[in-house]
Amino acid sequence: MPEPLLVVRDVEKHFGGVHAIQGCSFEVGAKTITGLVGPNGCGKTTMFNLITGTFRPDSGAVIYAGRDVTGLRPHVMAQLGVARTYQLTRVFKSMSVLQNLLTVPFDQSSGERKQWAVEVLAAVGLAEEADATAGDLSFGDQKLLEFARVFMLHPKLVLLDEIFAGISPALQERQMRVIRDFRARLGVTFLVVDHTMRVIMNLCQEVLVMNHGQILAQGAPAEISRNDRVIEAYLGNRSAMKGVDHHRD
Amino acid sequence: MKASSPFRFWPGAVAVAILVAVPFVASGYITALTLSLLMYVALAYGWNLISGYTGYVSFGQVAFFGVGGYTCAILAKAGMNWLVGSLIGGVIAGLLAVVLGLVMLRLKGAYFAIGMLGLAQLFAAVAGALKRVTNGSTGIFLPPSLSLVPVYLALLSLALTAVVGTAILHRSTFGLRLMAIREDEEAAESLGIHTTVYKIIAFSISAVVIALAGGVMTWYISFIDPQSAFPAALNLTMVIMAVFGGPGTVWGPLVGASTLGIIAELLWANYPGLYLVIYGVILLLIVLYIPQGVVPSLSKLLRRRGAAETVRKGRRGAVA
Ligand SMILES: Nc1ncnc2c1ncn2[C@@H]1O[C@H](COP(=O)(O)OP(=O)(O)OP(=O)(O)O)[C@@H](O)[C@H]1O
Ligand SMILES: [Mg+2]
Repeated sequence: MPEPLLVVRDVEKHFGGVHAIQGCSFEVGAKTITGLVGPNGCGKTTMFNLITGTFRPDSGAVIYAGRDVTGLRPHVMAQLGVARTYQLTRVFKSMSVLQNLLTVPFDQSSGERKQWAVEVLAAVGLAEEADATAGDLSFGDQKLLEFARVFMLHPKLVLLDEIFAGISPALQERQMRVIRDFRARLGVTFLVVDHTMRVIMNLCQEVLVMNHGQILAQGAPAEISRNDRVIEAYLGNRSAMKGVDHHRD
Repeated sequence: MKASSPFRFWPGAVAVAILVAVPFVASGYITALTLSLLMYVALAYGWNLISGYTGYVSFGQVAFFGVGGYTCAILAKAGMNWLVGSLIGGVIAGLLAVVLGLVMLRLKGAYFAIGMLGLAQLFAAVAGALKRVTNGSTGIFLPPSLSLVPVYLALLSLALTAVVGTAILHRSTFGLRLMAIREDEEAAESLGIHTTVYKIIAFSISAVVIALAGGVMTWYISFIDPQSAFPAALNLTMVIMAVFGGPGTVWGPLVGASTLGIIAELLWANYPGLYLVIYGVILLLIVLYIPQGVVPSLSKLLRRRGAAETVRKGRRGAVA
């Protein structure tokens, strides 16, 4: 496994009586596309919130690029190169698509910023919509916009929370192409949460399986899909695991 | 239709020239009316910055009107020039807003709005209690200002600066980040925007603009007491004017302040008894039918017209 860009070590998080994250540890290799899967409510989004500083862990550590970043504020994490999307899309609704992107980054002239924004929009296929109001876009296009906005930060690590959910296979393919392309060209690392197993198995080199706030298994997609404990965790959700082997590339 | 296009520049230049000429050529009544409209314009733009652009709707920005007013009155009483006194009032209000913002801007939505309302009332109470500096509820009397012209020109400069500043802000990255905070503060933060800093800057500039208006108006009226310094009605007026014109837009507060200011004046002059009733009904109709404000609704209408026109022209072209 390559040098880790992100290390999560023994992280705990309670919400009142709910023990959402229970001593969770894992690593994400630099320049990999790593999947994070697990049943509903197992703590995936909470883990994203702990990594990005939205929540502070009760205990444990988050190490990013060799530095302890536990409990740093979200805007600091973003400036360090950690970008994320939200499970429930959060675009700036009354602003134009282009304006959504031009809010960042910080270290560029407005000319460079605009050029990069146009490039990113072209990559995700929203170039035609640049002047449209974000709130007027379709559900799928809003997801694409939020996905595109992430790259404005020139991120090193991108956390994607169910960006493939509820959009057409054609758009999913486009998003996968963009992810692979940014990884290959710019060395961006991705941690991808999704329930669409076909996408996860296709896209990721490494998959982390989470259950009850812990990492249950970790490995290449083919290993994971054969792992008994994983299949058990998904028992009620067997259909999700079905067809996994047929869709490998 | 770039901003540099002469067609956008000339109407503005002509309007400014006319406004500068008003106190020299127009009647005292017209000058006084225009002067109060200029004050409303400045206040509406001040409110627009923190509430229209940044999304922190405040029902207490008038607190800074009073801070500017009292600073000017106290310093003028001590012999300082009123304009310098007003400028110092602006600086004090701006710094005060930084400190207050650290606390108040943690509140969201209705809590912030009402918290600010409470803060303005607290300021009024403090002004009433600090008898040795403010002369309590008796108020401070200043020598009457003999000419309207300096006050008028001061307010005109303030209003113009507010309009031009907003036009620049609207196209700037800083402005985009304020709007991002308004739209979704958590998402803005996840993009690396230090939202606290941006909110405080917006809050502070808003306070400066409103305090400057307060200082100049206090000199104009030659009197200040807690009630005239912190009138809750004035706060409502700036909210209504900005919202009527279109909050978070460049021209909304200008349209709102001048239209509603003139309507209020006409109603008050012609139907003194029914003035408030008619005014209320007009506002109600506006909120019901153009909730986004006049400017966004008009520009949407024009865009639709423009699109229809293009389609028609395109068809004609195709036929020919
Ligand atoms: N802000 C919060 N306050 C209280 N409880 C929370 C909060 N956020 C998450 N939880 C709880 O923590 C647990 C993990 O939730 P989380 O959203 O991380 O799951 P998830 O794996 O993302 O699920 P899904 O696949 O449905 O998105 C759940 O029991 C949830 O109810
Ligand atoms: Mg989730």
